[in-house]
Amino acid sequence: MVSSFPSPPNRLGANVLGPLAHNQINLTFLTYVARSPEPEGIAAFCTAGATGDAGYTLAKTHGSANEVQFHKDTCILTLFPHDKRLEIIGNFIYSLSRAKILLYGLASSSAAISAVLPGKAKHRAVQILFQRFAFSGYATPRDFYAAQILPEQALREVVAVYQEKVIKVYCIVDQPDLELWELALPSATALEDLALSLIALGDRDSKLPFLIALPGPEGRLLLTFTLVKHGAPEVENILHSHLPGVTARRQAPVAAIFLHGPHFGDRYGIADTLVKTLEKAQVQLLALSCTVSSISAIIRQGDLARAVQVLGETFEAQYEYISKP
Amino acid sequence: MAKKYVLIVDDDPDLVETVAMLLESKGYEVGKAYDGLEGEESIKKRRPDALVLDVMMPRKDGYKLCKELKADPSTRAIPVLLLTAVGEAVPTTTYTHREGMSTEAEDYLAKPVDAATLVEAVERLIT
Repeated sequence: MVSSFPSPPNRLGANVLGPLAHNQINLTFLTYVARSPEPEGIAAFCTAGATGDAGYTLAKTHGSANEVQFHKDTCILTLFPHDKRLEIIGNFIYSLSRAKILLYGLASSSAAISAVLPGKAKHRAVQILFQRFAFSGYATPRDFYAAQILPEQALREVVAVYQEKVIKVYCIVDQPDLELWELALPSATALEDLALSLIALGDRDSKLPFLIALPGPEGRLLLTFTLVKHGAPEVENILHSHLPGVTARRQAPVAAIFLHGPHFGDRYGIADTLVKTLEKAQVQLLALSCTVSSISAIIRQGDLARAVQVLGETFEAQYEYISKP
Repeated sequence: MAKKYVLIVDDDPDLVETVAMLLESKGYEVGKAYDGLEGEESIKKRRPDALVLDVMMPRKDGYKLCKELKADPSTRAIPVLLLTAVGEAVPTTTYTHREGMSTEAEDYLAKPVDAATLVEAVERLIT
């Protein structure tokens, strides 16, 4: 995992994603946040182990600062389906942070929540999740490991990788009328309290369409999430009660755009295409996550129509746009 | 009139979510399962009017599940739409259209599937 990449806003494509795509490096995980009002954006990404060193070198070469961190031997643990329920996402984060498992980053997709953690912590993390959750497919961690794909099957999946001239996606979905919340946690250890606040918000029947966490300057963990419009004072009160020293910033209204496609992690350049398309259209990206097989982008609501138009012209999504209420 | 029930079985949770959203927007009731065994269990609990089935999945792949369903008189009539990431773009792979049809699935679509085509295919299977 390569992280903490401060650069001017609207440089994510040129400084990070472009060089990775040019070198045909697939991203298995990507998060980005524009840190308003600071004039910078910060990104974190994961690649497959074999391309980690190359990704790190590119990040250092193209970055505008020297604050690039590189964590070898990380793994991504993904829980699904979360149905955008805060209590599921909150309990996932709580379980891992409570067990003192270091989380380098978090990213949600439309159905899943992924955490980046040290590879050596994987087995303990799986054990802990089985204590907290019941999985319909697996009764025990042993069942889970037994179901992991065989090398032969993995090879067949690699054979299936291909690139199109125009990138096909299943569909582009937009969701307007969201609130964006940003917090800078003093360290990853504060995630436990953050998780408790998410669980408390879940009790109010709210939904969480987007969440990312990534390493920030001075050891902080930057956390960004969106809520379906909820009532700012109530959210502030809950956050303040669990995280008394942390300032939460709110932007509203914002909108989310979700792109779903098969095997995004095996097809390089998709996030690069999306980001450059938005940059060219002068749509400022407020936050971004790429995980599992989805890209989720958060933009200002006033930019939504323009963003949907340019993305529709760039990607082949042969279905009418679905606008979530 | 009761909604038609479509079961989606795929190990890609975002795809399941996407396809479910598409079909629900067309008035279908949708069930979700994330591998072949879970799909099999789900079918035992509630028989779907149509099955959207991925090919490459852990524990039990879509071909195997489809063959088992078609070999069982009690589930043989469930129409199956196979989805796979491999289609004409990769002709050398072992997963080909012809193999898809050899499972007696009623229809076959290659990923990334055109969403409108997917909905049309499901509607064709059910009517």
